[in-house]
Amino acid sequence: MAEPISVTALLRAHAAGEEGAFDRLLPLVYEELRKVARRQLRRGGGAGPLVTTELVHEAYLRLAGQDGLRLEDRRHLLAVSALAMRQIVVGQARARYALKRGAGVPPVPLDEEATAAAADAEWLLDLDRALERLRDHDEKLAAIVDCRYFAGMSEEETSEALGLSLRSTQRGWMKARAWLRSALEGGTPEKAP
Amino acid sequence: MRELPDRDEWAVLDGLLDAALDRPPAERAAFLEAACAGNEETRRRLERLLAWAEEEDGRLAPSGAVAGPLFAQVARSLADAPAEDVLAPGDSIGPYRVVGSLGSGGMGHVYRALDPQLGREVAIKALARAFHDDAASLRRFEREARALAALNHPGIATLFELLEVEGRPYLVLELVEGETLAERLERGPMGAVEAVEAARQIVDALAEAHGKGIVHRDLKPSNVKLGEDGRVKVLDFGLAKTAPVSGGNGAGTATTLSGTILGTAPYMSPEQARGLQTDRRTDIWAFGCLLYEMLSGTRAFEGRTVSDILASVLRDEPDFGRLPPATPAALVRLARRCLKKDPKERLQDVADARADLEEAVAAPGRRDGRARPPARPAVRRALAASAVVAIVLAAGAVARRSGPARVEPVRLGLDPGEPLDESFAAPFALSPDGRTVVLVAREGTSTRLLLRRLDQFDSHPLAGTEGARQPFFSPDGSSVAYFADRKLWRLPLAGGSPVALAEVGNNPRGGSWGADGAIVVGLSQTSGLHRVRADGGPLEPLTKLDLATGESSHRWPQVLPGGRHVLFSVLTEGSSWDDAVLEVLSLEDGARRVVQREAAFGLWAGRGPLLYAHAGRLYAASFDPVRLVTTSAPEVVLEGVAYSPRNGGTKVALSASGTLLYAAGRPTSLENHLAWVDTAGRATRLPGVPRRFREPKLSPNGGRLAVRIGGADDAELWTLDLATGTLARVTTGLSPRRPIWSPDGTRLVAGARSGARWALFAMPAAGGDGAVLYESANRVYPTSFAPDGRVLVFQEQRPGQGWDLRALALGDGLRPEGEPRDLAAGPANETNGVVSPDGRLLAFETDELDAVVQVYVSRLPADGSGKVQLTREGGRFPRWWSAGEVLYLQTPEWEPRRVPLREKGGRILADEEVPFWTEEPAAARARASLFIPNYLGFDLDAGRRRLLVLEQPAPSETPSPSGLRVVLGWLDELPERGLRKD
Repeated sequence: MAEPISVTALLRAHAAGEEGAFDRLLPLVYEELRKVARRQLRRGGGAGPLVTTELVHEAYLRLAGQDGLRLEDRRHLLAVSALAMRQIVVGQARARYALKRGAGVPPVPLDEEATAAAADAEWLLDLDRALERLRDHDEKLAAIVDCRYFAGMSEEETSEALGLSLRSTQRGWMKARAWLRSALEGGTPEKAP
Repeated sequence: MRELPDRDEWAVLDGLLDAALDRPPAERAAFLEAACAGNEETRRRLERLLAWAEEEDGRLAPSGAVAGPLFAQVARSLADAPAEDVLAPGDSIGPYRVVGSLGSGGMGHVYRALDPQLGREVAIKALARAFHDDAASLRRFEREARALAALNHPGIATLFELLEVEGRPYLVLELVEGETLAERLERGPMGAVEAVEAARQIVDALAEAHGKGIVHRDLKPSNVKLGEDGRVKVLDFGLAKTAPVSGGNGAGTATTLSGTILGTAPYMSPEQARGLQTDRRTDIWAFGCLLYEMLSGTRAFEGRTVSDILASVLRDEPDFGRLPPATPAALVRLARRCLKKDPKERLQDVADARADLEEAVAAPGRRDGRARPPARPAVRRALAASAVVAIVLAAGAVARRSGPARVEPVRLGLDPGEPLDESFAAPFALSPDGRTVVLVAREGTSTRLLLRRLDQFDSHPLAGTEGARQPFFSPDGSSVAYFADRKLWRLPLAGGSPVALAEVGNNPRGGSWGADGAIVVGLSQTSGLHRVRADGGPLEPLTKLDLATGESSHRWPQVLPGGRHVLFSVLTEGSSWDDAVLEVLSLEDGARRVVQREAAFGLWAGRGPLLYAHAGRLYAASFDPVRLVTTSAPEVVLEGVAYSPRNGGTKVALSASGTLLYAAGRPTSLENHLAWVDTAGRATRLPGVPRRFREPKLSPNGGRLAVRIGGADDAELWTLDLATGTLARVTTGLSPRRPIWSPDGTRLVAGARSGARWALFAMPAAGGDGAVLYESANRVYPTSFAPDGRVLVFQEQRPGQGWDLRALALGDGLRPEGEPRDLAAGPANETNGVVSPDGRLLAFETDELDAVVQVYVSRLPADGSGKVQLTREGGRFPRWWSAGEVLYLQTPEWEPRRVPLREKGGRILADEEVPFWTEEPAAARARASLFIPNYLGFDLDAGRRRLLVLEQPAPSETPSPSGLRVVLGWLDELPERGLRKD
């Protein structure tokens, strides 16, 4: 009963709302992102900056290329990749945040990038929280943020991935940005003790 | 962070925002002016929103997440992460050879592999690397393994092995060929006959799991395999006994890498959808969904998104009209009963479904909504009723079975003639031939032993047995052994003096005398089993507590006939004896195996079933004496035996001859209420339904409570607003222990597993991400903050030296500074350290004297001036009543007492103790008898001089007119049909 993992089947299942399909897609996407990242690093000689915006595109191409997907499936894969990217990034941010705050070890002098990354992590976690609340109110707005902010997709790609008109995507991005900033910055900032 | 407005307000604002953006910029101000009609605040908010909508932001820009330095690091670590190897045919997993791929399970890949030794094919489940660092996923994987390992049933895929290869875990499972129920149903509904057959087997499998205390929690058609040979198997116990599910919030999406929505929406029960406690009735709901779907070919609850489906589960009744008209009425009835939204109204025991299934086959009939229930003969009714088999009386026996009349066993009330000892342990022992009883009678404040032959009415005192407790007979019935005066003694019943065998201390927990003269004892409340020879010799340890898995006690041993094995009870940290486990130890090789979960105080007479206690009931399960495993689902054989969930002590004895002796009591409940108790003994219950509350902790300003809700393995942290009664969940999937509040009341700190290690987590009390304060390979629990919040006192269980109290310095925002330092760390256990309100003293527990826990006080910072012992008779759980007074609970009665402290000449002195109860202490205590603090947790509201307690489970030591009951020949009368072998 050997059954190769079919990305198509998983996408369709996910689109149909079946639980667990995304769970199985995630390791696939993760794996592809990993391979792409590795290749890029090797190509860039290890020292140069990663062309990170390409990561999702390339991973997507690799996955999409495997199965001869239909248009809707490709669209769906884009959306799922964006979601996966968000999970991975937020998950890593969470881990870094915990590392930064915990372990009781005297702080090792971090390089500039790592320090910036740690600051990023905290902000990102706040953003993620705000995004979750936005998702409760309007899924489409949150999905646009997933695509544009987390996966670096263009307006056109986002429209395609979510099945929206270009104008809706543009407007949605503006509104999402407004709401998220109001959640992150609005009012008197309360510093957690 | 400012909150987004609630749904309605948001909708209005968002609509206005849209409308404003629709207009050219020049007109927007005017539009807002008009639209807001003078509401300044709204107008200003919209202005700000408009500004943000237009403005390019540095951070929140397209590709922002992937352009920043964080993502560069993420990508780099992605690249560095080793590859997910999806294995190819020919690759090995340990000794197994991969033959092919069976697809991806929820958490990783499943392979088809060959066992070269046995030449059979197996399924091997691997955990995807994406989940490897995720503690919750590892726990789930582990739980599946444990659940499957305990199950042994043709309807459940067998777990052959849990492998670890290069640090990665694999489950080696029985390979089940065939299609899933989901695939079968894609072809259309099943006829009634086919459905009943599948349902029957699913019921059998569930009954087996439930009998072992395992709840599946994710029963759905894709988890049921229809084998080619007609055998139906239930798969995927990966969610068994995990944390309760939190409600969905989107279209089938996982919310974080490590926080996925467990369970499957269309089959989730209402309590799962609400995030409430789940139990076996959750599986029964899912079974109802399966039955409905098998018969109708459609799902009972549907919707476009997870949210819609869950809403339907909570709100809609399934459309039973979709079941074919020819469906037998019994099946419709069964489905209805399983799909009751209130778990209390639902079918309670899956085994009860069997009667309906049999009836459906026997009398298919037409489904008729108005049909009266078919008449059921008395025999059937008895079978269909819950599986309680009561002990029958000599006269007026309740007819239980059709069949020839049998001699009913005789039940006697045993009047001991004198008041008996009322502590938790059985105040009696029964000789192997069932003819003689040794009773523990009260003698003033002490005890002594009486000997009583059952065929006579007089009891004879046994000389020299003052202070004796927990007696037990030698296998030949000629001697009795017991604990007195911190020693183990034996006494020949024919005459002679008692002989001391070993020093055992003050808190023994059971003893048993084996055929070859070895006596096994539970040495103390916190130890493993020990052994000593009846003719004298050293006391040697037999078992060691596995501290890594949190074992905290081995007790109530029984040496099984044959003398080669010992049956005993194992308790885990932080749970009650309702969650204990029965294990059997081989005396030959020291190997241990679990025999039964959610069981305590096991007994086996050398034949017949294994008996044990759980929540005040006595259960029996068929027992294979060769393999030493249970071979049937347990059934209740006695309701209401005196039992203490605090220590597992059960007042029951069974002789090899089959006579049962027990003290009656009431079954206990696992759930309790929170209550306040004041010094006058007046108790006020907090409103709300009873739940499995544990470890309540009052917030510093007293307005809220942090509490764990759940069982031993799966409790999560909640906060309760005392003014409004609102419960809010704080953690999911973390299973935190011993929560404490930060002094400013904004955070909670708790200990929890972190992958294979332990950590102290700090999290906002309002919920949100936690941070690790300290991580260790050892178990750690927080115990107290210094009042300025700059030091966290915690206890760490270090190998070789037990629990130690340590302190971690904290900076702003609870940022740890430096390494923790030791506060009180010695070879004994130092625990529960609490800092006084003025920060100068530390009250704590240690058992360095005679392994009895006492309360001490020492100065902070530790200046070597030593500690002052506050209690002599045993005390636990110190709290500060004020800066100069300590409250503690005296053991073993959990009596709260206060000790004022005084300083003289630079030394701390303890003054005379003051009882907690004022104004007629005895009356106050009696009034509050159900509400005194207990081992499940309590807290002190010093400001208002009251305690927050968990209402005790109903007392099982109810004095009854006849006290003890003896049933001769009881073992032989247990109807065999209730304990089928499979």
